[in-house]
Amino acid sequence: MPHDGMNAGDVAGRMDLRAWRERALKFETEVGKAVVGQGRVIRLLTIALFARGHVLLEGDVGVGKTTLLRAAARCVGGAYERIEGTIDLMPGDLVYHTYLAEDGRPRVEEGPVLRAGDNLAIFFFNEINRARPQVHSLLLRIMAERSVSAFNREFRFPHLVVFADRNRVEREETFELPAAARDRFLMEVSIATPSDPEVRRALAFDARFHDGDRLIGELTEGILGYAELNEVAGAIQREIKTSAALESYVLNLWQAVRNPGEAGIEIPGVDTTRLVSAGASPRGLSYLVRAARVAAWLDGRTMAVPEDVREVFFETMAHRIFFEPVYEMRRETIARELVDALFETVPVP
Amino acid sequence: MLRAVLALLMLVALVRDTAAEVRAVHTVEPRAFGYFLGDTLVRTIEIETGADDEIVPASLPRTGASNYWLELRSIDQTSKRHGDGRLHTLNLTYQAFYAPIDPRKQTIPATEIAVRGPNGSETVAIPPFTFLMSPLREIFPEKSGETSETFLRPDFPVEHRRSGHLGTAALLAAALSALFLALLARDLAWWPFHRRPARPFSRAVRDVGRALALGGADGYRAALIALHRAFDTASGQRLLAGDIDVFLAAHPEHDETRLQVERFFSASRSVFFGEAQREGETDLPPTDLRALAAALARQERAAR
Repeated sequence: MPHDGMNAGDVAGRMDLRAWRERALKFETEVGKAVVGQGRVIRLLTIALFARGHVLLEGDVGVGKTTLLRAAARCVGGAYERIEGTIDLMPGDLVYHTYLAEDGRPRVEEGPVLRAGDNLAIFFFNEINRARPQVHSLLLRIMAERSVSAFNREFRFPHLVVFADRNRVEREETFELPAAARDRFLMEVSIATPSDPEVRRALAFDARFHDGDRLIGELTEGILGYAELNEVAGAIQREIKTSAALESYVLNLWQAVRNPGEAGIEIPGVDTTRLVSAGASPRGLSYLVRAARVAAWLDGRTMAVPEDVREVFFETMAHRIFFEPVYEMRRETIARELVDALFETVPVP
Repeated sequence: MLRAVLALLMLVALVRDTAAEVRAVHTVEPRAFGYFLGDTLVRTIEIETGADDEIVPASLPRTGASNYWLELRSIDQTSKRHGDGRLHTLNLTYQAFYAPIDPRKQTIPATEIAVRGPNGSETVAIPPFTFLMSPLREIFPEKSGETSETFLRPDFPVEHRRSGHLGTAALLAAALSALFLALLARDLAWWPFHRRPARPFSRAVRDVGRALALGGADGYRAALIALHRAFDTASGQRLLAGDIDVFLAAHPEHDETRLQVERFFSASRSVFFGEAQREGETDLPPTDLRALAAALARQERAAR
């Protein structure tokens, strides 16, 4: 358990963290070999791994969401399971695997979630918005408590991180994730097609990117060592300082995002006093601080600064802010403008 | 024989072509007596012609001075149908400037006016007109007991018009114009309503000085914040340490103090977010902070 090493002393932990930072950067480089032109997404994914948070990837079809997650899973090491979201997927399908054996008898075995037991490091839920709400609610428990009940007993997954993706092209036969489920994701990262022409050319013409399996097979396996991540994450949260000034800055941001009108934020065509109906939950805020600390650590600092908060704010907070219905349809543009205006308005320090 | 006939025909044609058809000339003359220096007289001349005939404008007497005492003021010419022909009416207005010392005959000389028809032209003779002019005053006024004072009529008294209300109205109009000009200038942001380019660093120099005068860690922090606010205003948004490059690209005038700006941000970072709570622990002592603010303000003034 992560707390076992606490008495060993801070000096050892600090030395450890420096070495771990090297490993984290190596992890980023390694994943970057398979997924080019997505440096920021890889950085966010790394932050999420060290903040021990779940990630929802969103993007167009074929931008490399699945490749990225498979590459990350390989470099993290540990057991990796995946399931495809479909409209007829039921919660039982996640935990039980039912089939007819050779002798003609029905059998029930452990499903994808249970199969690897404690070692499950990454559970990858593809096309999560195609699954039904029943499945979402089971996933909710797995994500929040890292445990599930099956075969009349409780299974625990201490090292689990859930990656999910959803494409935003189709809306038919999909189920929007409930707010509670979205709130449990540390980050919602949207992946765009790389804009660098050189990267685009490579993606189209470099034969290396044509075979996804081989591309991922070439990556070094288990760079991070999934079993130690919890401990490292705890050490990071203990070691990276947040000063009083930063705390008040984050609280000001929180206040401003809940009442953008009062904070003097103006967005063209939007009545900011009536924009936000709910959201930016306390859990979201604690996730934000966790992610900011990891970002500071990855930058080689021992203190979190406003830049770290800004680095992770959109991905950790935007999906927790709920707009009034009249603005909800324009969520993507308004959320981006709101967050930009937020950082232009709230004074630092 | 044939030649003789042709020549005769041509002759007949020529004879026929020479004449416009002037049927009658009437002159309506004004009275022939009782004129004084400066009086006008109007002669009316009516010329009846054929339907297609017209008066040649160039043949009319020219307006202006006819001789040393007579001036033709104007010629009014009208023309209208009259039976199967036309009636041309000329109103000649003369003004006589002769100053006789005794009643004397004067003559407006005869003149000729050309009438043009489709086949040629004809001249109309306008007869002379003789009239009697009389002196204005007696030749020897002293005989009748006149003096130089009574002999001439007194001058017409000068009329004193009150122009006071016009002046008031002009002042009022000027005031209104000035008011509207001011409103327009405000609306269009002309001088002096245009926004002066903000000079945040100039203000920051004062704020930093005031804050540092307080002394201690609090004063130092307040000074840092004052300079932060100046950077915020100058860049139009909250400026973080990571945005220095963007800021300096947009404000190249501050580029020469890049090192000091970076030192300022790193000092601020360690004071607010790190563990260097007291001024002594940063690498930006208060004197340097004050110097940086002054340098930034100087660059700001030079740039605008």
